[in-house]
Amino acid sequence: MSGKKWLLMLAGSVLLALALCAGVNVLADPFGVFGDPIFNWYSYNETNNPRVAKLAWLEEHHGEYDSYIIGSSSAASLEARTMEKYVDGRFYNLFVYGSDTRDYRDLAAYVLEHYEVKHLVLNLGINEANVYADEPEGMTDRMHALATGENLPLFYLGYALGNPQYAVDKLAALGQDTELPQVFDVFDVSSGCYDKRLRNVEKVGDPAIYDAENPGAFYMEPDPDGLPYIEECVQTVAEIRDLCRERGAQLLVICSPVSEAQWDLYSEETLRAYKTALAREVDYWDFSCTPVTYDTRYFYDATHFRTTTGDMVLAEIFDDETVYRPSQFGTHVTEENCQAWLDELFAYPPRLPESAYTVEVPILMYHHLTEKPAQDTELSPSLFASHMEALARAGYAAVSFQEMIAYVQRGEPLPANPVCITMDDGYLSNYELALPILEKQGMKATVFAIGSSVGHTAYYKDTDHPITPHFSWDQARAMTASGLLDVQSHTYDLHQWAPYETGEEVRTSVLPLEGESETAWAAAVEEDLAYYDRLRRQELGDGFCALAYPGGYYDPASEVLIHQAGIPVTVTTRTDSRNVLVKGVPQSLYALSRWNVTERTSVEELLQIVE
Amino acid sequence: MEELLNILTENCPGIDFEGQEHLIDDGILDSLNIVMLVGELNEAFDISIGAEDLVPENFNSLEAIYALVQRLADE
Amino acid sequence: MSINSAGFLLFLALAAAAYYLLPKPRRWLVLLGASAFFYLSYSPAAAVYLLLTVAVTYAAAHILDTLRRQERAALEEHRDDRSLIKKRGKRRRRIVLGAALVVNFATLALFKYLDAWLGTASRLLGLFGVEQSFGPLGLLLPLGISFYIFQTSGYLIDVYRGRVKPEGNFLRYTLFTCWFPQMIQGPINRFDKLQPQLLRGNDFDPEKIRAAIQLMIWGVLKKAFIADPLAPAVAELFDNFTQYSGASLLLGSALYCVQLYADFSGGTDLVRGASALFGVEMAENFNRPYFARSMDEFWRRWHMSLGEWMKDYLFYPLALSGPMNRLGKRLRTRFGPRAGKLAAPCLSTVVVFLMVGLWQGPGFSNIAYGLWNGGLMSLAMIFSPFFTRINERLGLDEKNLPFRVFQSLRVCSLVVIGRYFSRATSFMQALRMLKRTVLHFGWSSLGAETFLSFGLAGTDWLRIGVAAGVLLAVELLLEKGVPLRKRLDDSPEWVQFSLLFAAVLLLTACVYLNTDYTAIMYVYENV
Repeated sequence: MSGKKWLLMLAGSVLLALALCAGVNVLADPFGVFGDPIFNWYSYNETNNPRVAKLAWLEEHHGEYDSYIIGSSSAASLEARTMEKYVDGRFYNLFVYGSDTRDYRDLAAYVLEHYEVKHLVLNLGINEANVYADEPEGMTDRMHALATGENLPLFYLGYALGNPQYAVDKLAALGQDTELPQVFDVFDVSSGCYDKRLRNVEKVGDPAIYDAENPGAFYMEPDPDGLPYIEECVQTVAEIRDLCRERGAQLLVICSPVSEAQWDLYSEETLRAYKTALAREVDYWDFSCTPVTYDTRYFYDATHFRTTTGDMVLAEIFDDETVYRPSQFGTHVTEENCQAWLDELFAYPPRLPESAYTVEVPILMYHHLTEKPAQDTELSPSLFASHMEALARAGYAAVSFQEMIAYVQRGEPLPANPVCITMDDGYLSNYELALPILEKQGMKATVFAIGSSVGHTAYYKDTDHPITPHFSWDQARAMTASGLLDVQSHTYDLHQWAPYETGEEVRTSVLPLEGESETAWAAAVEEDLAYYDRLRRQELGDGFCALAYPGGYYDPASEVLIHQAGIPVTVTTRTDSRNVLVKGVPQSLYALSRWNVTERTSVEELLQIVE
Repeated sequence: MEELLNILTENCPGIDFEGQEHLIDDGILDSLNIVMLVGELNEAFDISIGAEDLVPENFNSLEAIYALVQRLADE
Repeated sequence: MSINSAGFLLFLALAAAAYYLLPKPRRWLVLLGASAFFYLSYSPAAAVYLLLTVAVTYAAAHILDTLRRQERAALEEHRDDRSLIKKRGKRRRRIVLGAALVVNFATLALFKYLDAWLGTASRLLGLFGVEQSFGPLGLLLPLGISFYIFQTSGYLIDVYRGRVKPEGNFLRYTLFTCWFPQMIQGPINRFDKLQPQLLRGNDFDPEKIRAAIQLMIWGVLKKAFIADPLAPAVAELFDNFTQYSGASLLLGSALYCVQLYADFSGGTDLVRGASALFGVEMAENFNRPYFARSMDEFWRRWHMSLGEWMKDYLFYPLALSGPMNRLGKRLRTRFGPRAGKLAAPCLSTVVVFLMVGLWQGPGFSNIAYGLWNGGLMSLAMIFSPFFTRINERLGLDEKNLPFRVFQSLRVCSLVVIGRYFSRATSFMQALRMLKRTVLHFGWSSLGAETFLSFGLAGTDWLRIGVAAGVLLAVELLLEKGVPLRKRLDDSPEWVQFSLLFAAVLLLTACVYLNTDYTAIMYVYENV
């Protein structure tokens, strides 16, 4: 072949290679720039680069929204749905991780100019005055050309000819995709928030365990530079304010909760300068230093407050009495009240004693009462009676799960020295033997009844295998009517006893069967929960609020399913962490520990457990 | 010429110098050979071959070496 | 501008287009412009240092030439005191050359060695209780300084020896010094070979351009698929050598030999190809060195342009110098003719390799590396009659293939040991690693886990293995004299197209490997 021909062939090969690359990039579209024509997987695209993918997605979907939340990753905890509870608007959370106020302005300017915008919520932390106009380095952190006004064809060309490794990664991730979020798909596409389903079922409560499970999360490097970009930050906020005025959009500026670790990095002088400069330009709600600042359990880490802390923020702004928040929580800051407020804030830190918002509730686990206890799930009525008597005498107040929920969700008081008594499975003995003893001592308790066993006094389900008698719904009604013995769920039928089951699939816990698909499993569990709820509504008047895991088995995915179904309490058989309820932290009701009580548990031992 | 050939074969056994045109270019003579050879030539003909003379043109063949020796001896 | 980036390719394409579009007499200006752009885009400050060297050597060459002409004129006039005039002329030229060389190498020392030597001096003084520390100057190391200093020095010596006529045009001389392809990793070009090619205005020859591009592709592939993936593993083994068995360290040094060859020869191919795009053939640097059968041969096949430079401008002058001559004579009378004959080459070899070691860097480990090579070659010279006798007795000769393989493996082993010194960051580290290799070899550690313990996964090994296998096969065929390039160009079009397309795809992959990639790392924990 002649050299000339070879050179032409080379040129052809290069063009072909580039075309191939562009083809892969456009079709797999790992950043969503081209509308992700095949996979429409924006949760992935937004994880790769939210600046690009969110705007690309909004281009198609902005008709579904008329209000936006703007900020950096901490703004993910201001949930679009919660905003919609208080404000007449359809919210999209346009937050972008790792962004600064220049990005906020670009995004705000774009949506204000091109979409219908009724409300704009701007979330500001401290970091906004610490970074400004960070130069983007590449495909994963550059802003969409729509917002920056850069040359669009060049922008698309850049992504078409960008590193195809991103496309390959996306295809590889497809094979590992699950229903729940993983590192590569952390966004909830329709709300724009992070998909925190898994993150939000992580147990919070016992401070020792929380710190151990999040090592280093609340440490921040000293920041000797102070806040160098106060001026730029305030200036861009002012620009956003003007844009909103121009376009007739309502602007709500929130200075969201800051952790103690971050707050303490800066001097009073610096923080005052920031807050004062901001107040000169806009009115804002300030939550940066409040009682929650001083408890890590209101935060995921030093720079991210929890979604539920965000709920508290919005409840404060919109005065929602049904949501707990500490007194002295948010302040509406204007130029006029700013100095007075700052003087007050820095006069003494708004720290609360832990006893004001946390309480420890040990939970005891009983099962069946019988005169002849033969195993660890059986106990004689006389011992049970002496247990109850000892607890009452020692000043313990038995509480119901409803009271614990009220404490956490609404901050309602609990009696001093609370203890929680539970009995698993739903035996007739709970009604016949335990109820009278509880009545005598005025103690409350909760039975976790297996739905499918209720009323079975002789045989396991439809078989002729004899079982310990279980109480009936009529008896359950009598128990709940007493106000002392509540009936909650031990699942309807996920606590099957393998030897007696006839079918092939035996569910002995809420965990998936071997080889079961994620969706089939989720459907089975959801159906069981819904069925129990319906049944309880029908028989006892309302749904259930607490679930005891059969066998104590559970995992993060099952936690997600159950809490998503609106059940605020789950209890386990673990005993490795203390049950510390924290007002405003619903995770402190998740996967609670329970201490099993047996015939061998003496009164002294019992008192030791609850102590 | 005769004397030169004797010195060459004595110093570099196994190399056939006659009829070779590219002793250096073909790598038959390497730099170590050359340095040892130059020492001998300096000694035998009482000349002083300098580094600037060590270019392939001067060592590629018996004739070239002879010419070099002649030229330096004349000076 | 990284030489295997898309930007560099674009730069080359534009420069080549400009070159061939201009009329021939002007074409060298494109080369000068491209070189200036390349160097300035690296650092304008470095360009100033480069220009200083250009100016000094340009002037020195001019003076040397003037002196030579004066001398010739004087010789014409006074036919009687020829030797006196010659002697005086030589002395003058020697002074000028010496001064220029001192300036040149002082510049090199200033940028390349001074900081390290200051540090050593401070430490030494510290040993004697003197608390005097010479802070590092932290000077920017001008790109290609090791190459252009040697290249201009060689040019001056050639002018001094009257081998080349000095370049009269300052701009043309600047082009010779800063020709951009040689700035990254050489080769060290010779004035008489390079300059005519730079200036003459080469024809557009598709065959040559094809060869140039093929060479570049080959070089990039060597770098990207062998050298680059090996680098982190080698770094891990050398940086954390205390955590690895002696066997692993030996493997590490061997891998480093492969890495270095792929990197250096790949880079040389790339820049020689880039130069050949403009019809300019630069000096060769590698000739399949690992097939060499002696250390001496290895050094004639490894970094050839440096070796040639050292031979012509250091080894010969040293070996033929008066003192060496006298030393040889003295040894001859005392220890016999053989000792007298060997003294000059052996000593000069050691000095040359000391310089080769120092050329690589200022540390003791580099000196040790030089001594190791120079020493081995001197020993080989001294014992060569002994080896010849053994070989004769065993009936081994060049035609015996196993013997030749043995010889090559012996060279490779010696090179691997030498590389402990050139790769280690200090002399002590190299010694400790050698000690570990010998005393804690750890045969039992030679399992699959070992190979996976320093950052190379099974798939990496496979990829590198395939690439290295291809390289080895190609070099074996070339070594046997198979004209691969010609066969490639004569093969059916579909074969050529497939190979070319595959190469372009691999090349695209390389370019992407070097650009903008951040794996999804925004971990969920950080919401």
